[in-house]
Amino acid sequence: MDWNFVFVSILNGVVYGAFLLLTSLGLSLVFGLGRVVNFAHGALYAMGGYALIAVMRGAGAGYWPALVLAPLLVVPVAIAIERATIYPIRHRHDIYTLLVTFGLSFMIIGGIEYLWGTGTTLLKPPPPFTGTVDILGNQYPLYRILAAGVSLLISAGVFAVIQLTPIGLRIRAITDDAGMAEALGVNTKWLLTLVFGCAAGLAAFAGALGAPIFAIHPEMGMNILLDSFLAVILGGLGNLPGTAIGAFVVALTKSIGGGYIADWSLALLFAVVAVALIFRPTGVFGRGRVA
Amino acid sequence: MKTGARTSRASALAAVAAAGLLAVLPFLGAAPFTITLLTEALIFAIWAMSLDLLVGYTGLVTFGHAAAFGLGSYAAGYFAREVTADFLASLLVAQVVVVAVALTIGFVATRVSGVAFAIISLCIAQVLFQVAVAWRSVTEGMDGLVGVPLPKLLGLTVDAGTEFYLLTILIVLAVYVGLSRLVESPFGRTLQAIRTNEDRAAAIGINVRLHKWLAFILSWAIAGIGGTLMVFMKAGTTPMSLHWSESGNVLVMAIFGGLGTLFGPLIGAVAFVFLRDEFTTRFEAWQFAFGLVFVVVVLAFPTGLAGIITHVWRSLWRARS
Amino acid sequence: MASALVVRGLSKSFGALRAVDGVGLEIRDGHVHSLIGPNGAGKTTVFNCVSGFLRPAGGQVLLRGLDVTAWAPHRLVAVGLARTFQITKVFGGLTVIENVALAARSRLGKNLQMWRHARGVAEAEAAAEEILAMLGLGEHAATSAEHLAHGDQRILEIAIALALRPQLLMLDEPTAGMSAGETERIGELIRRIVKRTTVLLVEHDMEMVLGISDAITVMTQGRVIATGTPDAVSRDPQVQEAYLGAVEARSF
Repeated sequence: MDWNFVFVSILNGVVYGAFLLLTSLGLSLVFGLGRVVNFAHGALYAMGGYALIAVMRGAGAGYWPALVLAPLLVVPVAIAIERATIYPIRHRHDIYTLLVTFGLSFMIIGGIEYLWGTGTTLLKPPPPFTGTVDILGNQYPLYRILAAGVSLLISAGVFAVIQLTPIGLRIRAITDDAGMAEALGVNTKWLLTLVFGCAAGLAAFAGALGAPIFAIHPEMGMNILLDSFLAVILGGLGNLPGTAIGAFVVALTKSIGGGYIADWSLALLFAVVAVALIFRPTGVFGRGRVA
Repeated sequence: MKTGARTSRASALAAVAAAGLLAVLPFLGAAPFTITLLTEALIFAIWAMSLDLLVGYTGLVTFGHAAAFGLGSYAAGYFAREVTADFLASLLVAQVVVVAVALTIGFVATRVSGVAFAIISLCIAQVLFQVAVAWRSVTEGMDGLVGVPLPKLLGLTVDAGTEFYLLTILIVLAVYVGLSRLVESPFGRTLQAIRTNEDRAAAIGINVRLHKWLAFILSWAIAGIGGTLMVFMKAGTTPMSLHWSESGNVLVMAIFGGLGTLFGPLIGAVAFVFLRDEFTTRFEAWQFAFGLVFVVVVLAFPTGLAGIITHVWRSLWRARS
Repeated sequence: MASALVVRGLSKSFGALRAVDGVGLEIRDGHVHSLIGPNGAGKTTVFNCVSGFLRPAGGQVLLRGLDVTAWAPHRLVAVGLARTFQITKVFGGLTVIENVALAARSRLGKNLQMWRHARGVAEAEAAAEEILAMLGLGEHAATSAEHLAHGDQRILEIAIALALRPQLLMLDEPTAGMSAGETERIGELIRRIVKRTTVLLVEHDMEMVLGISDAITVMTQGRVIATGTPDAVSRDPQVQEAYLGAVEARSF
């Protein structure tokens, strides 16, 4: 067994896991809070990547300022979208937000393809992080380590906000029982928009941050969307620590499995999820059964 | 006879009349390209109606319905090429494969509700897509299955063009009438009860899980019929038939047409095929336009074309009395 | 007389909250048995545990001697249990008679029939008509369920449950949101229904309950504090304390 290969696969898994964490947390929060399954989440991730290159090429900016600007550009757009299309139908059956965000996904990806074409853009890691670093005899790209570290830091920040701040408390209360929270006078309307905006920001940031690692193309968000869904299912609705674990399970399964079982890694992943669902059928995503 | 049974008789007759009208089109001088487009539209209609059974009538939104269709295509196509191009035999084989897969996957998938189900269904489709790409020895990977011969019905070859078109019309009619009966039956009503209110349905003695499972299997089986027809029409298939965007397309057809009506998705499929043909030749950003139409329909016209038509029809009726 | 329902040592917790703690209940055949208590007493939880909508953490539920603990709702219907919902859950898009006929067809085991027309099941249609007539909803048979007045919808709930020909009918706050007149009507209805089936009633309205019950069980904070005839229970000092306290809390 090529231990170096396994080791690098694990490293890749951890790196991808860190990114997956950013997108999955956002997805989980939005779902836990408003029961909205945001199918456009992957498209928002892609928007982050494209906003990055738009700023870099259009304004001639460097990578770092573009990295900061990209999510800031995407968030207002995301909020506008949420107010225009999701907020008006929030009282309808869950199906509708599912379908609307699905349609939005098509729109966003279609828009990206129209504006930037269907090709793939590769980005080099920004200086001074262009080199590799030696880890246990393996040369591993330095930028990946940095990006993973940044992602983990931000995720920790999200956790801190949710666990320690008053607004985080409100979010947790509503996630547990929306009806009760509303009765207590918690203003849920703008809260959902705020959280949606933040989730979009996280996704866009992940897209921009990951551009030098994962390449940029219109459908770049789809795989990470799928993986995020799996992570959230594994972890449970609105359950952030669970989602975090789920993200790394998914990322590591993909990266380790992908090495040895080429092209079948996703099938393996599905088997994992299916097994998980058999043991935790109703509790994972359903409403608690109460009259 | 109760009113309900009378109207379903009427609609069945209307369906036969419509089928008859469609059937004579090639003989009235319709262009071959129009016939081809219609054939494709009718095949999609079968697919969209099967989706309606699951989404519109049972309330199980699926983002992976391409899997059922594509699986049917691959199974029938492979059989037709390797063994015999007999249409009924290929159809049977495809049905066996699709039902077997739906049975197993459905058993797990229907354990979960609403949202999780939608996501799992997407995962299933992705997995089957991956299988189609990776299992090169059978599916020939991204190149796809090619060289599927023309189908044979009772020993006679069904030519592409008008003959295949007529075969398709026949099958669509059978599916439509069959499904219409199904949704009006106690089983169909039970599915709708589950869609309306699962708890209430369980409280009146309905075995919700069993019914969801059956609906899933039936829905896949019918989609598989569509897939079988398609693989013969295109003389092959590719993994793209299992792609998530295809699942999106069939959802568009069904929603645009009007979920929960059967004839809605049917006209939705026809509208989709003809509109797409228009869009792709005229607009570069057709995917964007498509998404836009989808969003607008979901927001403003949740009952789709069928809803609009029924509304108009009812107001005319009321105006007369 | 046999026991229609026996509950022993039922318990259920939600996280740290012990909603139901060692609750026991015995309902005699042909009785109207009411389960009352202030808000948060755990009555609804007991109700849901017995009717298969919640999984109890511990305890036993015996329906006519048959252990049905933690059975799924549809299986319970098959052995003679039917329930209504506190928040009206009729099938809004269907007419009144279609709602009841649906339940009747389910009882007749027609749920998997795929070939004939649903409205063609004559037995179900007849049963539905009879029940609607009995409950005074006959004139609304063709009305869409969502267009019914609130009070009539609550009665429709009961009609649907009756179509299942239960041996034990469980009513979850049937008079919720009703006027005094409507409440009286329901009370009178229940006294008529009990000739066909044993009734377990979860209610808030003390007055109504005292008037129509054969037996009452009082719960508070997850436990049973009294069981007996309406007379005995209304004189019980613990009950008076629990309810006086509850009345104050309710006038919020």
